[in-house]
Amino acid sequence: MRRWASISVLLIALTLVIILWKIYYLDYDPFDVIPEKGYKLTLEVITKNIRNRSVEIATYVPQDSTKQQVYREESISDAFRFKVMKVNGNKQAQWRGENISGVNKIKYISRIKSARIRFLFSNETVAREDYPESLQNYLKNTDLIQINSLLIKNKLKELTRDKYSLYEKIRAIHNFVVKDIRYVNFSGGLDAESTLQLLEASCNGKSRLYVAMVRLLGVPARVVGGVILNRSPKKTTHQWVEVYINGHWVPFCPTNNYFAELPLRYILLYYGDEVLFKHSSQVGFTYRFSFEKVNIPKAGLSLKYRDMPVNIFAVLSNFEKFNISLNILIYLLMLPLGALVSVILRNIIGFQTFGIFLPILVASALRGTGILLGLAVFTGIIVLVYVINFLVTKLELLYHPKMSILLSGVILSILVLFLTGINFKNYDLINVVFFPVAIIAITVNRVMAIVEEEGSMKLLVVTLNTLVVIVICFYFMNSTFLQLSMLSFPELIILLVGLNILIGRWSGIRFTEFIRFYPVFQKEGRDE
Amino acid sequence: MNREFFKWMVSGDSRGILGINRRNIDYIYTGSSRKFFRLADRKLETKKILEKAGLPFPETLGIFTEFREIVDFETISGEWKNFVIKPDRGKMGSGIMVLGERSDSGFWDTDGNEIVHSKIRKRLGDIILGVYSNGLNDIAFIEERIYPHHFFSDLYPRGLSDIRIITYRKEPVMAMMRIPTGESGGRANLHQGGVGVAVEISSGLTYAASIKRGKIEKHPDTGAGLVGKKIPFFKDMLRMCGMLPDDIRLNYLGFDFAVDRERGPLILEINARPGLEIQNIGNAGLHGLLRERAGGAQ
Repeated sequence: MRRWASISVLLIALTLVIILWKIYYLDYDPFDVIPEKGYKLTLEVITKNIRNRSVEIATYVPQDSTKQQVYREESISDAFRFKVMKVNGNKQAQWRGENISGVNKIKYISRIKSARIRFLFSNETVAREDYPESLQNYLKNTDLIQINSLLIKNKLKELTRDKYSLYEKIRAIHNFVVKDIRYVNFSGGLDAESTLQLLEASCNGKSRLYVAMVRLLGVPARVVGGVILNRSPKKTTHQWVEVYINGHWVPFCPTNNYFAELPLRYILLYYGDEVLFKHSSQVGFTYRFSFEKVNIPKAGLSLKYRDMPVNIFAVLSNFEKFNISLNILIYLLMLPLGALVSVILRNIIGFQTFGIFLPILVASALRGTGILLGLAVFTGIIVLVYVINFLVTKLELLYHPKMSILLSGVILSILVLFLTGINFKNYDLINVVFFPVAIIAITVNRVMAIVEEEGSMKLLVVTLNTLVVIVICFYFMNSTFLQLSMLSFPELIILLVGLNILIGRWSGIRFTEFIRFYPVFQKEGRDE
Repeated sequence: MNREFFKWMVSGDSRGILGINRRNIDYIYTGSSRKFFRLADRKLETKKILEKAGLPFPETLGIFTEFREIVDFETISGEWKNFVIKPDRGKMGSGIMVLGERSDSGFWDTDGNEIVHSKIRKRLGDIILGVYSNGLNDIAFIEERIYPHHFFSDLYPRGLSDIRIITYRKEPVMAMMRIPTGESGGRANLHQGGVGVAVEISSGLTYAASIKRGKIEKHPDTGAGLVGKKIPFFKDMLRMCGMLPDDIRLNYLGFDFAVDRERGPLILEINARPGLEIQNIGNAGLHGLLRERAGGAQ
């Protein structure tokens, strides 16, 4: 076997041996490193105010519970001061600003790890007789949850006739509120009694009636509120019910028929029959929630694998220690993979790009800016370099000062975009500053080399080729499967080296060459 | 075409066509040393080798390596006229400036425009700063102007036509002639619209011509017939290709010749990574020819 082939096979085999050794000998569970599914929940609030005055806005934001864990949160706003307060067991975000006028935007981003929860609740579950003082509030009559109402009392009696266990009784209430109270979507709430009278309500009327009936059984219950992450963006929030059973607050949703369980997509914002938003009067106020799925690392992994000889988790835990996100580690690990994809696209398919690294660097930068904005900025830089070069050509400047002018022009344009984003409250546009300067500099250099040596047509071709390669690399580098593979088995980098050796010795025709030399290919075929 | 592509993918049979991958692996990296790529990439270094081997090339009149030398261009240029400014490492004819008779404040170019001294100094400065060689510092040199043999000026009077001969271990494998057109702006580059004419190695006769892969019979500007012509001094050129000293460890080369009215064939450049477009011009696969004619890699 040739030397290169042996080395390549050796490297690939070595990788497989390390992986198998980790799994079978070190008892390494590849699934451990798999980050948990989570959500990046974004709340955007837009305020409109005509006169200069102080404005206060408060809302409940996600906090840790059995179902959800907040991993990271941030608030973006230029006009308001921000703080988080604990209010009645809820986490309240408060924004306050003086002399606020015009249109202002607040963004609150929370990364939440959410889980599906399900409680064992059956005929065998025993109800307690008495509850501690702290839970007495959840047994009381309120204006909206009228447990003194005769109508509700009689209905409950009818529903729970010959029902003996707590499970059967709550099942009966649940079935009644789910099936017999018709769901209508209206804004504003209904109290428990009116819900029963009308036999129709939105989630909040249903929840209040549910809570009233459960309290009448002598079991603490409360309305809770949150948001269902089923479509993005959305303006509607949701309310459901929690019942205190055997020392746990067990969730029930009479609107979507969840009994002692809740799916992943329910995110809890507050406990109690609260109003989500509070804001100063005479302020125009709109909001929306949007979300995307993200990966959030599992906690506590670093301890489990601390003493292992080949320990990627040590790297991971050190990243965590310095509060560097998992994303940076992923970013580093995905670069060699992106390079391989770029190499395949170049040497086997035949794409012509601005170098081999620029596409993968831009592809990584897209994570910060978003794919469309990132590609637009990249294309914009190329166009700008071309135009500025065209304009200054007549000045017959020396090479280096001209390059410096080009870079200055690009940076100036990026600042203008950034300020435009700030002024028009376009938070997406602000992301333009996350486009790394190093990439901009390399791009300017590469573009100029092609313009000077090979002309505009070539620049156009190479630009289009590069854009395609960037997008393909982006999808590979952002593939959850590949990210997890690299994260669990970083020794795969050795395998990538092996594959690169194979490609480096592959002397076949590139696909674009097949097209380029197609007439010759045909003719040589006829001659044979 | 899809089926054919698939068949090619599966069989790996390139039907004798040479792609970039194979060119680099089997012909450029194999049996060559990096040191010599540099030789071939630098025209002045190439000239030193040519001189040692006793091969003809356009004479160098002057060399500019530093800025302060440019300032004195007017003095240095003395009695020069009819010369060419070239970058040592320029690719594909970029950065070249052809100057004719002297004018009051500079020179006349080949189209009869006046090129003033400051413009020439600017070009020399650009070359030194690496504008034509990817930002690397470079050397500008002055070369005698070639007056093409009437065979070439009859085909097209402007610019400089050249003959490219691909050799492997000193054996000529494939040849073509490149002629400028109005569209190519006096340059003989194929991708800029120059004419490519296939030349038969055994006879020196032209047998096909094309512009940007479209078949033609006559030069688009002059109407001169391009097929069935015998290239002058072709045998001499083939002989010269085999005359490089043995210690130059480059197996696979592209020789560029021009034929001067008085001096005959001159070597303009030796390319260590000659392009592959010659296959489309000659309608034949280089890999197959290399195997057949020069014992190329199997």
